[in-house]
Amino acid sequence: MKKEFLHIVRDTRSLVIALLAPVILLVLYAYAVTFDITRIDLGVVDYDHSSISRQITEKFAASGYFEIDRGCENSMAKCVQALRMNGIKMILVIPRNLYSDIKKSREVKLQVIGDGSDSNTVSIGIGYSQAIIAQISAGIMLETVRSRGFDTKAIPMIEPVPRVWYNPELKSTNYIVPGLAAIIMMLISALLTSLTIVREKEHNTYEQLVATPLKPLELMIGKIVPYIILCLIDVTLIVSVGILWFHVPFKGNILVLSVYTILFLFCALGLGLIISAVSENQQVAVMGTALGTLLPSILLSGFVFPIASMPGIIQALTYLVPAKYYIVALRTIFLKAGTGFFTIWGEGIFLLIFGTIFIAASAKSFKKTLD
Amino acid sequence: MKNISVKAWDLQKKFGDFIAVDSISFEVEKGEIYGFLGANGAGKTTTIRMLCGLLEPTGGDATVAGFSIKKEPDEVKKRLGYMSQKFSLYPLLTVRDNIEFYAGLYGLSDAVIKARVPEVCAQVELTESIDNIVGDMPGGLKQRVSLACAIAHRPEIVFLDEPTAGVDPLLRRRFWEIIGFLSDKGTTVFVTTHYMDEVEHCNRIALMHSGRIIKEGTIPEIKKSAFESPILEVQTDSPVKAYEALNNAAGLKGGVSIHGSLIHLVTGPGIAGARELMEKILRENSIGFTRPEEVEPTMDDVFVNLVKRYEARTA
Repeated sequence: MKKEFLHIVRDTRSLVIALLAPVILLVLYAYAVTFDITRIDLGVVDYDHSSISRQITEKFAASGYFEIDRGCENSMAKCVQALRMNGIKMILVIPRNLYSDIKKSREVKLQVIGDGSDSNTVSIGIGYSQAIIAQISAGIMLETVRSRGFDTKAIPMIEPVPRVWYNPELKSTNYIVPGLAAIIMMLISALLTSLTIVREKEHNTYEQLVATPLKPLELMIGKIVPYIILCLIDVTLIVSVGILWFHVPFKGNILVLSVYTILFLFCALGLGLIISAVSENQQVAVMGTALGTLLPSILLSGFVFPIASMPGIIQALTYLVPAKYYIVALRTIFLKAGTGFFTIWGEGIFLLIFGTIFIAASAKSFKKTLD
Repeated sequence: MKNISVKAWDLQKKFGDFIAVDSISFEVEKGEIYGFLGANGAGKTTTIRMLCGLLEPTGGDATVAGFSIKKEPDEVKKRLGYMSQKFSLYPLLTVRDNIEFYAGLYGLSDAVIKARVPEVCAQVELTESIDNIVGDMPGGLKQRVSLACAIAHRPEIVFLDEPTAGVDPLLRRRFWEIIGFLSDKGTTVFVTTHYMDEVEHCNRIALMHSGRIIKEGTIPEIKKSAFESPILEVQTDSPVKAYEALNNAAGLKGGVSIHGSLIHLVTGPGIAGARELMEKILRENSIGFTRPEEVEPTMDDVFVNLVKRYEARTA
């Protein structure tokens, strides 16, 4: 075990990677992966040129969600061209006679066109535009009612009052950073351990180890403990960067966080060791880690794609991904005050089960003979 | 009663259809230096790996320090030191770290290890390099570090698989001296090599060829058994030409070998006739040569002759 420590410390290059990579990854990804959509480029074709049509355009611009593209110069042809060339994502078409139709109390239709090749952005943009138009429509309605001499206060209305708990501004960094922390820990910890046994094979020390009375479990513990400590340093770094740099609120309990992290690390490190035990060289080990741990952790953990919207079989598969439990645990611990061990015990039990299985399997995969 | 350190009977290892080690039996006494000699692929490494519990035999069994390699491999492992063919050290650690690490794997206490490291280093003459990083050291010294790691727990038997491969002759000689000291202290040394000259350092050797032991014994015994007839040596300026000429001649075929500018000829019965025939052939081919002298066979001669005889017998 001491040897593994020394090896980690002496191999300065790997050490720098192990300590710096998580922080760099976190910063890069936390900026790149954001689900807050602001400033969708919007082309506006206003056939009406009335006070109302200008008011609509201004509302869109003032909402903060749209950026009106002036280059389209109010021309449908130019807007279509821009949409095709990805200059804009959406087009708002204000029909002729909008003003006069409203004054005549006729129903008016506003067309909103979206670029379906970027469906995520556009569906959010359409949601925003519906809200804006509904607001304008309600304003016009009230105005009309008032102009006919009614007391607008007498009109019954239901107004929803949404409150989002734990993350009131719905800032996506608040839930991406904990998720990212899990993904990065998965990558780093599985990668580091997946290389350790392979490195023994490449240095021919594996044969030598097999020739000693060393027990498989002892070997695995010797391999895991130093990396758990290294990875705990990594987690501390990531959490600190998340809190200090990205201002993610940390409402939970450090102790709970540590326990769940250690449980998760057992899973990740065990997985790394299994990969390491079956790989012949470092390249294979790296590939194995990427395919076996990183991809499932990103795709099936609920980090990016909500598990609830996956088909049944895939949903079942997600139960096999340890990162899923850790992400849930992390988000809960970060954002919900008063989260204790028992609030998220389900996740804890799954992590414990997987950790035990992986460590046992890795000890098993370390054979006491060469054939 | 003889004190037997290693005993193998009908030991066999198959890899699929390939028989790497073909039912070999032998005994090694305590404190002996026992050499396994043979070409690459003869089955030496496979044998050593079986004896160290790295490979499971597919037939037969062996005892090492009194424990069966099949039934009690863990007991065997505790009592042996193993130095594999390739350097198996942690390159980023110092000599001291490496020795401490391996000693630790054998369950030695910290206090014992602390005392043992300088002792072992002195034994293999590495005291000055004790705090050097292994990765930066030359091959000959790494080899001694490997040996130090293999003997730090004072095993009853050390298995050395081609310990001197790729090491320069001077360091090789020093290495054998160290091995000699070990043997004097009662450690059994089981060593494989394909350097013919090195077997002179062994008490007894076994010649291995295609998975079988074709000869076993002390070196004088083996030399004697290999040749009933003497060997003639001539020096010549064109050894290859001479080799071809002699080897093509009826009655001499198969008994010729080149050693630098020297040609060795196994005479068969009747040394006088052989000398005349040899001189005649060389003269006919106008090859300059010195007068053929009778010499002691080298291990090369012995090995070549025994393999040849073995193949003639099995063909």
